[in-house]
Amino acid sequence: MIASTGSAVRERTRDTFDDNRDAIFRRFKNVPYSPDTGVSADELQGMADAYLLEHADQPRILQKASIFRLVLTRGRIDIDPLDWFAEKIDHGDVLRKLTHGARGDQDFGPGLWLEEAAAGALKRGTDWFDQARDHGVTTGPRSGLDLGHISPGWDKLLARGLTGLLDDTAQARASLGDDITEDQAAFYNALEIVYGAAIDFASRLSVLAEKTAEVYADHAVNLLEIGSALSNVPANRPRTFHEALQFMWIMHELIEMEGENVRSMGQFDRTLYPFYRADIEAGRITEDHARELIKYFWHKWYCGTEGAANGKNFVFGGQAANGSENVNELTYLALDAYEELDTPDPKLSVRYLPDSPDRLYRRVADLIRKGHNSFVLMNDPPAVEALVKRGKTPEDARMYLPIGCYEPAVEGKEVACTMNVTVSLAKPIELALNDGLDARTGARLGPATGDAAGFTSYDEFHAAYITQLDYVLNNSHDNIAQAEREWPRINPAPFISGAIDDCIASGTDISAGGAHYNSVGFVGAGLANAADSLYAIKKTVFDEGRFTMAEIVEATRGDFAGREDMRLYLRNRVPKWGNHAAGVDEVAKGVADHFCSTVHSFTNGRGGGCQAALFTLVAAMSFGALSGATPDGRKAGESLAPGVGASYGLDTGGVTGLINSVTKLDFTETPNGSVLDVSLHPTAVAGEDGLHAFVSLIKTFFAQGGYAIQFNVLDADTLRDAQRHPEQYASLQVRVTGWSVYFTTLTRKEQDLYIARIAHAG
Amino acid sequence: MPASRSPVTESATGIAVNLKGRVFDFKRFAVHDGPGIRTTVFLKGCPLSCAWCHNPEAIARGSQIFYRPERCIECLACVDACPTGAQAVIDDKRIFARGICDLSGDCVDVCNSGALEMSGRSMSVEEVMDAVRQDNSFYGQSGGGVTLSGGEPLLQAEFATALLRACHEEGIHTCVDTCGQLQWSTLEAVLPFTSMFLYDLKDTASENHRTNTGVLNERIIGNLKRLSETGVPIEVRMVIIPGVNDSDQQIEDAGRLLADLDNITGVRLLAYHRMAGSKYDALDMENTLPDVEPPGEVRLIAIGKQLETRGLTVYLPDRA
Repeated sequence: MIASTGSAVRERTRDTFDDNRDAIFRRFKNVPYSPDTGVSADELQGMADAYLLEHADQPRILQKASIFRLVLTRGRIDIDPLDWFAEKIDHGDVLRKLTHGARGDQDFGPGLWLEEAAAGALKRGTDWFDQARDHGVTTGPRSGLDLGHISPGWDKLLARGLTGLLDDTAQARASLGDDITEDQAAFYNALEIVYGAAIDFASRLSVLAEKTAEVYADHAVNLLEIGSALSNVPANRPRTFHEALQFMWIMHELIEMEGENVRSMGQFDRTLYPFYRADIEAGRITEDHARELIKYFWHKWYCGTEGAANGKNFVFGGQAANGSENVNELTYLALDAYEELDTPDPKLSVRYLPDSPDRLYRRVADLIRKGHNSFVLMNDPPAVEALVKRGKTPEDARMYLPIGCYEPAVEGKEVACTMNVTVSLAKPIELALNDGLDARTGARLGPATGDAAGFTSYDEFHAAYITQLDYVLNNSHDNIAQAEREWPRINPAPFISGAIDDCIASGTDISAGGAHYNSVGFVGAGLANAADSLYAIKKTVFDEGRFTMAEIVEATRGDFAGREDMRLYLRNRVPKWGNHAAGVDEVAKGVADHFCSTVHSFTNGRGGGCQAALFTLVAAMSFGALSGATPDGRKAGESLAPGVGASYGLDTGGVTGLINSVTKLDFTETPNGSVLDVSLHPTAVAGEDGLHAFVSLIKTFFAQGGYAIQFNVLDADTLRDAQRHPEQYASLQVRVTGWSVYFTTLTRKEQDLYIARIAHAG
Repeated sequence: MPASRSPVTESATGIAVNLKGRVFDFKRFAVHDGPGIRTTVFLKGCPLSCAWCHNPEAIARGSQIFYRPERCIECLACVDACPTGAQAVIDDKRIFARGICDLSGDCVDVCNSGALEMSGRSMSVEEVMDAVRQDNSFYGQSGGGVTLSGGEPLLQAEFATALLRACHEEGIHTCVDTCGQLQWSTLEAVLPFTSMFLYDLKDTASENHRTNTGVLNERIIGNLKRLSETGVPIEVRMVIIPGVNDSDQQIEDAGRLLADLDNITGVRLLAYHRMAGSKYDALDMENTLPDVEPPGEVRLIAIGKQLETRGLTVYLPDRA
């Protein structure tokens, strides 16, 4: 079964990645599956439907595993003769349509099993949630439990291969003996089915690669390499760097096919270094060829997203379990490859320690200022401590991955559901001003906290705000806990479960809480709007007596119609979060502390903890659009503040003031992550002086306890020109909070917001 | 109005408590006003009046009010607040009659839109220190500090000296960005507290210098020579204005002058730009910015080469 891997550097085809990238992209988007290779996706769908009818009494995990096997053994496959990696199977999203109906940005409508749950068990007690979601209060799990922020244990997978997981399965089953439950037996059976199917699938591809090599003699080198690799992986430990990459890529595709989104591909430099180093030492690979392979590998992610959606995360730097830093020559080789690739996907994160090499800071800062703004820079000390505070061992906490954007999860041990709930911290201001009712529709979203016009102290308003916020948090928690308990019947996921501790040992799927750590993320969005609004009321009503509570209530309810003078006072003359102003910063810290500690008091539906985060992603706009005017001078419908930073255009104290404010928050209490978005004008970071200042800015943010930071280095004129001439700016990347996208793919409204922010930075 | 001369009392640290200066701006994360990340403090008043000045609000010593009508929402609160009638509505038109304005600032206090903005406010040394101390950690990380600029910051000699001394005593690196049109004793007084000078050299041709800045350049060049003998590091800054101060002869003369001096760390070329025009409008000042295009990169490189042949280190404007 195992073809020998040449010990000398293989003779390379003369074509380069750059020669092939466009052709590979086209074939990725429109795969010419040959009917000779299997049955069509439509036929697969028919066979899957028939299977379900015939096996209606089978546990769902076995139904799913069986259809997984059906697809992989019968579906059509393809290999691009120009490529160095293979994975293509014409699966028609049969499995996703069965469960929860969505893949990334594609929505197939609710899956059968989700639809059934939504009509049944999930229906109870969700009236509040439906209202709240439609009014910009919270997001939650009606469209699917967030198993999307997940990463298998890459170390374990690469070390043992799928045959290793099958061995573990047999051993675990044997050790349970007669005590085994039906659920455990079904889980182990499912593992045997899906891993066997994946190994068969790799063999099918391997045979096809060898056949294709006969037809495309010019590309025999890469095709035979694919063939050889897939005769070994993912069944066994990779023998080469190329095999390790092929292993990870095929796992990514199969996990996604099963029904989860893989949002982290692990610690690239630590995990892959042994394979790379061994190849270099044995003379099997050159640096140049390794860089080319990384480009072919990463191009797959770009082909998947086209730079228009949130991509997948690879992390560099950081620590191994024992605390040693993961920086090596592969780190820099991969960063070089990324610069040459020049695409927004995949996303790269870099974890820093206080004494990380200056070269790592300078290399990444230089890439960012050259426009490669997909980087998130993370500060290990608070990130690790936050996880330890929530009960993880230090060894596990050091193995966190930024999973998605900047939400940490322990590699191979945690199902963190980091985006299960996003809550608006600003909406409860509107509710406190309106006795629990939505200002626009009058819908009751929170408890009656009294007529705010009659409040006689700031403490009274603050208490009403906290009551409204707690109500939102408690209800969101009840809702998610209920949904979690349904999840084994909606989306059991044996293929990834076996790659996450302790599922095999306990015989439990991740959907049933089999992971070693089961967490749920609660994301708080719009901290600036909440803090600025509270402080504006404190200062203008109760400290200065400039306005009355009745005026504030009436003006915000009426979206400041006829009160533009008042709105401008509230917006421009009252100190704002993000400017190192003591009063409002203290209010913000109070809101953040309350939010985090309340979230941390919850237990989730899988028996794990809930973890707080402070960021926004798309919620800044989606919540903002559904929120009334706020006493910070924000008009109805306007975006909330992005990330954990200041409202758009209101960080007038400069980037140092912004950092000084934000680092007053205790980020060891945001175990589910946080980020500060910073826009810098290109001239501020130009030249050697600028690079030095840029690096120093990042280091100061970290030294002061900041969590994660991301940058846009752009000038407003460039963006305005890009609006006028999108055709000339197809490759212009900007960083939307959370991910890097092509500017021209944003909506006009999003573009305008961006330009306003960038103009302010200049 | 120059720095206050009211009776001076001293704090425990020897800094005059009631000494006030007139500050018109702070720029944080300033990265081209000396080494590292800096906070640049802009003081009002300048002995020169350069045609190309990009801080026209810095020329006058007293406060001034920016008026930007495009931001005005016509709430007319300023008209009600104005004690002299300078803010008025005449024939349905909003008028700001600066001639009768007494600079009370009452209009600015009630202007929420930002259409009216006071340039220049009276601050004590301690108030400025509070503002600059906020970024101590950035200075420490980057080897940065505080830069005094203006206008000519040393025109408020007593205040600037006290400020530099306060920074010096707290271990904050200091730069003074000066035009050099000063009594030598003024420069000498700040020397013990100044880590580095940023020294403007506008034109080596003295008559031409007078035409464009209002003064001859002998004193400026004399002070530069004398300063270079004290041992303090000096970065020379030359703003390049095509057709005004960039002839081969002018550059040659500058090169020859600077090559003979000690302690010149380098010559930083700054490209003239016309982006300050809106500030002239907002102050109702005549826009004197020369109507020439910014110097091109090729020309700047050529000037840089010319200076480098004299053994000078040249910093070109960073390309973004």
